Amino acid sequence: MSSKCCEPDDVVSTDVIALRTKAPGLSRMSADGTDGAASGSASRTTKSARGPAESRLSHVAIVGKPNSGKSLLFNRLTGLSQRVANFPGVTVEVKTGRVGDTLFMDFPGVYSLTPLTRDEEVAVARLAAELDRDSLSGILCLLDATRLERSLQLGLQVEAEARAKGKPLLFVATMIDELEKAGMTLDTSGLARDLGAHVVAVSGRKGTGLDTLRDKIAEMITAPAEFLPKGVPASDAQSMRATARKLGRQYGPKTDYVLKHQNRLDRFFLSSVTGWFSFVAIMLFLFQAIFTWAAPLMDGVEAIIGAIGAFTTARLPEGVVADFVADAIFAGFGSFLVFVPQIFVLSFIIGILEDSGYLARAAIICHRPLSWFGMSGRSFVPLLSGHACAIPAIFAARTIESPKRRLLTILAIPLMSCSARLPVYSLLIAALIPPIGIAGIFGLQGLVFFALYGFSLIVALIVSSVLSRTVYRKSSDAPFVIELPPYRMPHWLPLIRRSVEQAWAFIAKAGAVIFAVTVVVWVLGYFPNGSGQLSTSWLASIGQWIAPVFQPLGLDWQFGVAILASFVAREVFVGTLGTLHGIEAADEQISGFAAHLSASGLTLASGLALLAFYAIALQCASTLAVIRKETGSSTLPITLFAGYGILAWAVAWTVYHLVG
Amino acid sequence: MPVPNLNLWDLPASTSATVAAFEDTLPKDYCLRLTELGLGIGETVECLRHVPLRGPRVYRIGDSVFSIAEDVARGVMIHAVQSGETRGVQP
Repeated sequence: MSSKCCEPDDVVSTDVIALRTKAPGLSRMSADGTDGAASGSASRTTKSARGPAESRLSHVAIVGKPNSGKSLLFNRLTGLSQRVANFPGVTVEVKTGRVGDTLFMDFPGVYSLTPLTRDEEVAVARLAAELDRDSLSGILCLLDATRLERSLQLGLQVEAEARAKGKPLLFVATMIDELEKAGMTLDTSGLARDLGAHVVAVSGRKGTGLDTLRDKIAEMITAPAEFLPKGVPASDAQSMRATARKLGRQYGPKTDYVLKHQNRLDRFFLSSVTGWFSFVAIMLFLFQAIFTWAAPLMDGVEAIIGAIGAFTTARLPEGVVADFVADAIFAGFGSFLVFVPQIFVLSFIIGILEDSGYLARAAIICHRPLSWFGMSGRSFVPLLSGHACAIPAIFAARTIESPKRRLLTILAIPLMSCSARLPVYSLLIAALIPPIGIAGIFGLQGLVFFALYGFSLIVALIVSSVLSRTVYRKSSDAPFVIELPPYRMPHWLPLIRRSVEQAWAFIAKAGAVIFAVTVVVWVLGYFPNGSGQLSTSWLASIGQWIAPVFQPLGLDWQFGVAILASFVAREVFVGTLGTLHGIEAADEQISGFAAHLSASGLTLASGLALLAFYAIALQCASTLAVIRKETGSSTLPITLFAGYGILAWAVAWTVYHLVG
Repeated sequence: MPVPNLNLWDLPASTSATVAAFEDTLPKDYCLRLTELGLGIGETVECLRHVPLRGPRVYRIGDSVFSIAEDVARGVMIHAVQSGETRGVQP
C-alpha cells in the first residue's frame, strides 16, 4: 500500500526546527560510517572563522543550491581560486575569503534548509549558527537564472529565515550570460518586487554585473535596514513551492530551450552504445594523460631535484650530514615530489570533465555496477583518481552523498593500483615475465601489467561488497538523486589555478608525514655502521627479525627489509632492494636490476606472490594519515593497515602455492 | 482517486505523469527531499531517458533535470501517463 508519507505542510515547520536541532549531532564522524566526513572540516573552519581578527569583520554568507555558481562568484569577489566545477557537491566545506573588512563565506550547496545528507547538515547547521551572530552583515542567496524555479525553492526558504532573524538579504541571479546568449533577459526589477528583496544579475564567468553587486554588498553592510526582506511571498512549504513555480515560469527562461541542447548531448553520452563507447574512450584518454603525458613533467622534476641534490651535496663535507641530505632528503623525499606533476595532470583532466558536465553523466553510467558492490556512481571519480594517488582520491570521496558509500569508497581507494606501485610492478614484471609478443600487437609484460590493475580493482570491489553486507550493513544511506547540470565549457584559468593548488596541497598534506617516516627509515638504515652498510644496519636487524613472516612466500630477509622500508612510500622498495643487492641507483636501472634479481634466484612463484602482496597491502603512511583525517577515526587506519596486510599476505601465500 | 499501481521507474521515456503518492517503504526524509526537489504529490514529472544497465533514469522535474536511482523511483507512485514535452529516448 502506498500513502502520503510527508504532508507538504510539514516541510517548513521542520525547517526552522532542523536549523536548531541538527547541529548537536555534527561533532564527530564515527568509524562505522553513520556520520559524514565533512564535520571535521566544518568544525575547523568554524574555529578559524571565530578568530579574534575575523570576529571584527562584516560576515557575508554566500548560499545557493549546488552548482549555482557560488564558488565562481566567491572567487570573483575575493580574488581567490576556490575549486569551481559543473558537478553538484564540489564545495564540501565552508570556505572564507577576506576583502577589506568583509569576510565572504562560501557555504556548500544545499537543495533545502532541511538537510538530508551529512554535508548538508554541516552547511545548514553552520548557516544557522551564523544567522544567530551579530557579525553576519548579510546573505547573498544565489539564483541560477537558467534554473530559476529550482533555485527559488531554496531562495524562498532562505528569505523566510532572513526575515525571521532580521538579517539583510540580497538575491544574486547568476549565469546571466547564458540567458543573454539565447537573446533572453531577466526582469530583475519585477523579480525583486515580487520577492520583496533586492536582486542583482551577474555573470561569474564573464564578470558582468560584478561592479553593481559589489556596490550593493557595500550598501547592504552600511544600510542593512534597506535590505531586510519586505515581502511575504510564501509562508509555508506548499505555498513556497507554488510561488517558486509561478515566479520561475514568469521570469525564468523557457525550459524547452534550456533542455534542448542538454537532451541532444545526453542522447549521445547516455545511450547504451555511444554512451559506453564514449565513457571507455574518455577513460582511456585519462589513463593516457596520467601515465604518458605526465611523464615528461615527471622527468623534468626528477632532473631538477637531481641537479639541486648534486649541487648541494658537492658542497657538503663527507659524513653523516651529506649522506642524510643526499639519501633522505633528495633521494627519499625527492622521489615523492616526482609524482606531483601526475597529480596536476589528473586534477586538470578531471577538472575538465567536471566543468563540462560530463562527470555527472559518468556517475549515472557507473552507478548501477558500483552499487552492486556497495558504492555509488559518485564513487567513480575517487576510484579513478586512486589510480594516480590515493590521497586526492580520498578527498574527492567527500562528494558522495551517502555516508555508508563514502566510507566504503574510502576503504576501497587504497586498493587501486596507484602510481607509487608502478616502479615495483615494473621491476618484478621485468624480472619474471619474458618480453614476448602476443598476436603481434600486445606484449606479455604489458598484459601482466593490465592484469594487475584488473586484479586490484576486483579485490577492491570484493572487499567493498563484503564490508557493505557485513560490518556496514546497517550504516546510514542516502538516495541517489543527482541533478544533471547543463553542458558547459570549462573555466580555464580557475581550472589551471585549482590544479596547481591541488598539486601543492598534495605536497603540503602528505609531505610532512612522508618526510618524517623517510627520516626514521634513513636513521634505521644508516646506523650503527654508516653509509653503504645497510646489510648490517638496525633496519637489516629488524628485517631479519621479521624474515619468518616472508619465508612462507619464498622471500628472504632482504625482501623483508625492502617491504619494511617501503612503508614510507611503496616506490622506496626498489631503491632499498637495490642497495641490499649492491646495485647503485636501482630505480633508474630497472632492466639491469631485474636481470640481476632473476639471476639471483627469485622464482616465478615468489615474484608473483610479491606482486599480489604489493597490489593489496596498504604500504603508504600518507594514505593512512589522510584516512584518519577524513574519517576522524584513529582506529580505522590501523585496522585497515593490519587487515589489508593480512589479506595481502594470505593472497600472496595462495599465489605462491598455486604457482609453485 | 484510486491508488495507482504504476511507479516512476515504470514510466516510459518521453512520457510524463503526475505524482500520486509515496510508498510506505520509501524513508520519510527521502519523500521530503523529493517533494522539495519538485517531485511532490500532484506535481508533473517527465521521463527523458532510460539509462543502460538499469542505471538511474533521467527525469525532468520543473525546470531541472535529475537522475533518480531505481530504489527511489520505485517508491514514487504516479497517475495519468501522457506524452512528454521534451523528446526523450530509450537507451
